[in-house]
Amino acid sequence: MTHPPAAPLLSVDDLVVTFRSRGLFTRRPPVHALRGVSLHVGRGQTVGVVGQSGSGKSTLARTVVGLERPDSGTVSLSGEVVAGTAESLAGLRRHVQMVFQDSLTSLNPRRSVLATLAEPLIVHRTVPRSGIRDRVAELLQAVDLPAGYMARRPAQLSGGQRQRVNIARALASEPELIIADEPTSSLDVSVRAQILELLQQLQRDRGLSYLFISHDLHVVRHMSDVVVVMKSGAVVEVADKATLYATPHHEYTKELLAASPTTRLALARSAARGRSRFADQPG
Amino acid sequence: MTAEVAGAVPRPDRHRRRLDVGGALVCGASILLVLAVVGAGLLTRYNPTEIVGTARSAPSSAHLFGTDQLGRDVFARTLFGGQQTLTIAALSTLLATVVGVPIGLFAGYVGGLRAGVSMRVMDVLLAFPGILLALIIITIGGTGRGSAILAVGISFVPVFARVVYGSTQRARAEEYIAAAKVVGCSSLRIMVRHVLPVVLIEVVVLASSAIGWTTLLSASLNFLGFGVAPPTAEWGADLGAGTRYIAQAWWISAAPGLAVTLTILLSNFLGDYFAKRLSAPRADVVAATPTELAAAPAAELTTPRGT
Repeated sequence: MTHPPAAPLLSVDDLVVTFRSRGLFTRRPPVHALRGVSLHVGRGQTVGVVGQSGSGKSTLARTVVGLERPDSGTVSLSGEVVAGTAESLAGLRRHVQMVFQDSLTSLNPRRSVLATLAEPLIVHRTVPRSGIRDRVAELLQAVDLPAGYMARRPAQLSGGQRQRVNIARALASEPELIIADEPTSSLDVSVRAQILELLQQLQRDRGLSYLFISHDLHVVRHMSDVVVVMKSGAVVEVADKATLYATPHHEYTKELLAASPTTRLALARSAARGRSRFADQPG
Repeated sequence: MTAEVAGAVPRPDRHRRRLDVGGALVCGASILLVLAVVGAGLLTRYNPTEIVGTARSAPSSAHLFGTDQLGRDVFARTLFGGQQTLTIAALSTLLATVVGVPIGLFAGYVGGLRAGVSMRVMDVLLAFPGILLALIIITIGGTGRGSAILAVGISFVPVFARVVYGSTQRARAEEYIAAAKVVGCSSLRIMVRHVLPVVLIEVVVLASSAIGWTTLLSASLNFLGFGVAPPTAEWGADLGAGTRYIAQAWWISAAPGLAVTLTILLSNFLGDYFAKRLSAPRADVVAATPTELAAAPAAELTTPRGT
């Protein structure tokens, strides 16, 4: 891979995704999930994506990691177009990983933590077979879980612990970019801050970039350098964090900010809560 | 207070399952039936193909189920006949599983045109009555045990393919399958490591019921004379031979007929038992463990979920 110095890590250009229901007897109108979305994520940067349900945030995430096929437009990584073709996906998958919203359903209930975390190592052959156990232990350590959890199954973990396993799985192939699709929305409020703190710490330690998707303006503000506001499958505003929250331009952004009680409340709450929670280590 | 305390979440309770009397009876009876058929030589001193008494003598202490139209012991023939019938049934079920499961798995996971075409072929086969399909295969392949196994097996391939196709499609929609794709697993790996274990549960249930259906079909083929050659004992063949004497010697047909009925009943019960046992609400697929719920304050559980 060549890295033109100017190219951002991830470039999404004019991405269009349309869902058509094809059936013998059913004809529903196509759903335009993404109508020409463009955005860029620089190295080490976190780009937040906000928008209501149905704004296309999750479709964007799934298209970037290759789970959905774009009708048109491109996804490029370090200047190389990766979306669309099968060969390029194999390369993409090592460099771009995803943390899913639901920590329970995104882990196979029948497989142990070890089996789940070993899978990327086996598939990409990054570690010799004999070294897999040690590497999995390292991954668990990176997400503050004891190595003894290897033998556990998802049902034997709490929501926060499961999401840590999800993050460890995303880290396993040593990606440059992690797409986090509402990584905390399935979690208890008490655990959310810990997971966000973990993501930030991993970013500092490993120079990761994040495409951070959330409907929660407070969380996005907390995490992101740049915020992208989406509505009905299109980007309506892109601004750096400070500008967006201080002087929103688009009407929809203003509506979102006005409609979110968390914007002001949460600031007060997190100040009151102090940082003691972040120090909470799972056993 | 947080749910993140180590050791707070116990291992799911699996062994505290109450003894299932019905299930134990069905399993026990099935094992007995198979043992009786396999160990037929130990349970009777008669040779099933040897004439050992007067023709068509009624059940007595010497001949438990009487003798047949030639004077052979019906009890011995029924036990030994099971070896033929159950072998054909078991091997054809195995054949249907081995061929049908990969077809359903592939079509269900990969989807697209090829899957559509192969499943439509399965639908066409499924639309034929099993006996007709089996007879067509017998016509092509000739009579005999091997041909009967092939005929019965192929007749049941679409049944297995259909069931596996459906459950594969359901499994494919799971989020952890998407996660495995993102990780970089090949389709083959996902099918074998993630989808097959889910599907196999249904295959076990289906196969145990299918033993009954394949028993009936293989007995039917033999009843019509398209199976093992005489004088070999076989349930369907003996049942057919006895129909001519049903008014004078009902036991000739009744014994193998009851054996077929018993096998089908047990197989169906066994299927039900496995279905109940394997699909019972499992601790590892429940959304939250009781301890986890107890660990989180009620207010936090009502947190609305995002998109």
